[in-house]
Amino acid sequence: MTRSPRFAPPKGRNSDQKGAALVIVLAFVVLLTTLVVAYLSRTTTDRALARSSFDNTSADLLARSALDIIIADFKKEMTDGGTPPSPSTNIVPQRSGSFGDVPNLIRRSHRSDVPPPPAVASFASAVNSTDDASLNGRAISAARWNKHYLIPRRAPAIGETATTVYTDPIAGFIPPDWVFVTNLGPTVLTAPNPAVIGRYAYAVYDEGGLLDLNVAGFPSANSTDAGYLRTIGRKGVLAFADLTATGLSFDAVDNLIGWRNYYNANPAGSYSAFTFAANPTEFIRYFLETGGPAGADRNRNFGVVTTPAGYSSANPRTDQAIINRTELLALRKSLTFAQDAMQYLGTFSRETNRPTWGTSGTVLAGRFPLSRFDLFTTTPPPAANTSGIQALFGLIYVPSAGSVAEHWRYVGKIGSALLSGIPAVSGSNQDPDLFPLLQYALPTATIGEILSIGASLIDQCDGNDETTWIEFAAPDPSSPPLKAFGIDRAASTEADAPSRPATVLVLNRAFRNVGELSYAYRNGSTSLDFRSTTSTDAPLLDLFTYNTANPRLGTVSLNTRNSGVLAAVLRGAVSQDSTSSAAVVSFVTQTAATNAANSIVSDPVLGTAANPAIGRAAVARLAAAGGSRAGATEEEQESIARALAEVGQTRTWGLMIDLVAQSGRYPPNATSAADLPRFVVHAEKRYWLHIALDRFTRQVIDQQLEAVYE
Amino acid sequence: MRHFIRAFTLVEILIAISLLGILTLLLSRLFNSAAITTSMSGKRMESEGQIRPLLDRMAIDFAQMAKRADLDFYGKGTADGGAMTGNDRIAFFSMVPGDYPSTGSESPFSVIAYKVNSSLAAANAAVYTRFQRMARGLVMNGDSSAINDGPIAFAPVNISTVWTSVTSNATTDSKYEIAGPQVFRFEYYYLLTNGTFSTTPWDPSLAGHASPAGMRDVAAVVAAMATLDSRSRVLLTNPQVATISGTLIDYAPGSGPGWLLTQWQNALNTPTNASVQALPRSIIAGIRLYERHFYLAPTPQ
Repeated sequence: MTRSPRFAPPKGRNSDQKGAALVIVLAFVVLLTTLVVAYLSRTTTDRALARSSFDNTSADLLARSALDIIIADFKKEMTDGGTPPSPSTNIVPQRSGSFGDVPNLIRRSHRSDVPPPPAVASFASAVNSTDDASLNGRAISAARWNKHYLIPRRAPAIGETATTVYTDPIAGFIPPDWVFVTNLGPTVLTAPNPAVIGRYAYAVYDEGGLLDLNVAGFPSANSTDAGYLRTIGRKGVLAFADLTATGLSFDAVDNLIGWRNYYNANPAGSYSAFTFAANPTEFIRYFLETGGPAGADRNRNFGVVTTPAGYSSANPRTDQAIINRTELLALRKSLTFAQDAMQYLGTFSRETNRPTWGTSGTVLAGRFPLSRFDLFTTTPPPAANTSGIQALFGLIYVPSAGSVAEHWRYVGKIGSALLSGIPAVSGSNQDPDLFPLLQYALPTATIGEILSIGASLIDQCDGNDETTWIEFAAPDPSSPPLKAFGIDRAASTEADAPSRPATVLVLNRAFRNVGELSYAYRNGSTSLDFRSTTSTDAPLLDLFTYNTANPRLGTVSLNTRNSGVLAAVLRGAVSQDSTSSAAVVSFVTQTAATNAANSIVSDPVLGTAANPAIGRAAVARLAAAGGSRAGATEEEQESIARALAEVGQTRTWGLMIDLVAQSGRYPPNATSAADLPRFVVHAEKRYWLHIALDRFTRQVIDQQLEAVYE
Repeated sequence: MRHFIRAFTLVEILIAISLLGILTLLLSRLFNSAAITTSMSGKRMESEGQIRPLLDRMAIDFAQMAKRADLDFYGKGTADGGAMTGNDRIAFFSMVPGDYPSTGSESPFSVIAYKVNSSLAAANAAVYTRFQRMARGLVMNGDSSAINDGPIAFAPVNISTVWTSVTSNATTDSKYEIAGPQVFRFEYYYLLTNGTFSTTPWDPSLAGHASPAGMRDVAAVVAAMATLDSRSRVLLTNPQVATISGTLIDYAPGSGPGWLLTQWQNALNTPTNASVQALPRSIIAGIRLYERHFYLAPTPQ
């Protein structure tokens, strides 16, 4: 059989060419496969990137939701705790767990922590954030939980010293457990649940009980200048807290303050090598706001930094704020100061500048500024002060005439007729003048007692030595006017003046803090009592203020468990003042400050741990708890009130919530209780939320959300 | 004897050639479509791949903004920023690392700024109409004599006073880096905490609110961007890119999210500018539009 010529292979084609078509087809297949694989690879990568972005967003949203839940729980605790708090222990957030070794820690998410009512439990499951690693190996080490140094560090190990950088906490700190979140919200799990979308763990610290480093601390920490030490020792602002009590060195304090107040403290030298004069007057002037018009409010908001006019390369000085804790950590690292001091230092403090005693929180618009007493600096008062004196004190000056010495007439805010009674303070948001305010605080006192206290307060801050007396109307209009006497260095020449104590201490200067009101006398005979549990004068501590800014920064919670913070405030306080620059002034020593602070916190009856302070009026009780550590005399023991009352507060819950949130899921094969730790983490987010909650209004005074990147 | 070899008839050849032509045409169109699709997809993925990290970067910058009343914010609607026509500019302090000077202790804060460069200088041709980011790392030092490398300048000193390059798209600064080489149009507006959208970063309906004041009234900065992939971009001159950018209008106060992108897309679909009309449709089709809300850390209300 012969092949048809039509189907004969073309001439010239050999056997090598027979597979060409196959090769070409295979080449196309390879090419197409490569293209498809490349495309799939690219889309897979793209999808993974998108997934990562999605997971990060999920973790972020989960973290913010968790913070909202925690804050809502605290607000509920406030609501359920009553306003005013009932019982009084509800003035502070309830603590869960045994945190004796970690005084800053208020609460954490932990399976065994059951805070007493009205606190809300955390819904933590039995999966620990440190000990139980996730299925993909994610865990939060204890050292990471202490990245902020708010937990005391463990003792240095072999080969380490106190200056070795590490954040490992003491063994007593048990890291938080995870709170799992399903589509129904936080849920306590006993076995894996496919509805879980993520988890979070948190610890809450009492940042309001720390020293706000935006205000605290004074320079020239090793100054021996007597005048400067006395100025600092009279306290009045948190800036006069002695940071060396926290373990910081003199150089560290000077470097901190030199950086913070580079303009207003005017240090010499440069960053990390600042030096100060023995009496840095610019620093004092800035924090005490001296030099303003007489009677004007001292309302500097220390949370606002102002760059001075003329700031330029040729004039580059400006103050700085420690904006958040991350910056504080960077500052510590840069200046290499003691890590252990960090547990006493914060960056966020706020207080609604309003009293809490009795019904004062609603009746009064705010506290009475001590600066108003400056209107009495000179006697007779300048014409510019007279209207202010009547508006703010209800007094009219009467010059001496014949045998009648100069004095004041109590006529009230308006008019010129003598009053026989003191108007009552009622309504809400009132700003009464001095005497109605004193009567409001001391409701059982007579008008004579009230006016005598007022006269004595004027004697304390006026510049002369003559005893002030105030004329007021007798209840019977036909009777002659009555007199109320203060106490000054010179006894009154009036025949009907009461007998005076053998020794009196008269400041003859402006009040520095509300505690100094204790130098005033009642009825010209007994001084006010700010150092006993039975004090009836204590409400005054809550009704006056040196700094009128609202909200006020640079405050410390009187209910702090961190006694080292209180010790820093107390250290260096003047325990025996003097009106003579040559006289010896006594100060509260470090030992006395530490002992007093420990008593204030831990005294089983009077201490704040057992019996929290509900307002600044409780400072008298705290002075009773720790005052004996400062000395035996009334003045020495009241140094506690002079140091603490002005910078102390009780109405704000200043919290720092340290929260870690992880988005993720449980694998399908995780079903038993033993599988509970086998969570698959997709993404993680950590926040430090600084928040100031007003205990009485439940309002957020301020907050700051600080993302933590590790 | 004549030997006949059988061959295709003319009709067969004509039919074969016709079929081959039709098949070739179909295949070429198929391949062309596939190529276009692949190319468009590639361009989209390229744009997505570049814009996502940029948006993530911006999200962190905004989320970490230092929100304090005593810290300046430079942006649209502020006293220094003004109304801003065309490409917008923005600058603020943020707790992110930056380009630090060689000396000094590094602080965690930087001055962050964004703008689309419009410098016509020949030396800036490579960055012209490209999205730039400045992250100027600030030092702790309070004694820096070069204040623009120094610490944070609090109020009343403004960002625009110390870091002057933030005020103009045409001003160059070596601290600016190209963050989005494909982004040639940048517009933003504010989502206020009362739920409205605005070109001023505060709520004027609230008494006493007439400045950013720590961005207390701003919940998010809503940024819209137009991008052009690199393969399309090389086919255009810088002035042509600028012309396209000019046809994309500014945000109109009060408009909601999506409105701006709709306007931009309409402008690209039916260009009114003759120069833009003359451009290849494939290039215009390659322009991708994005809008994203950058939420700020909350401020108590």
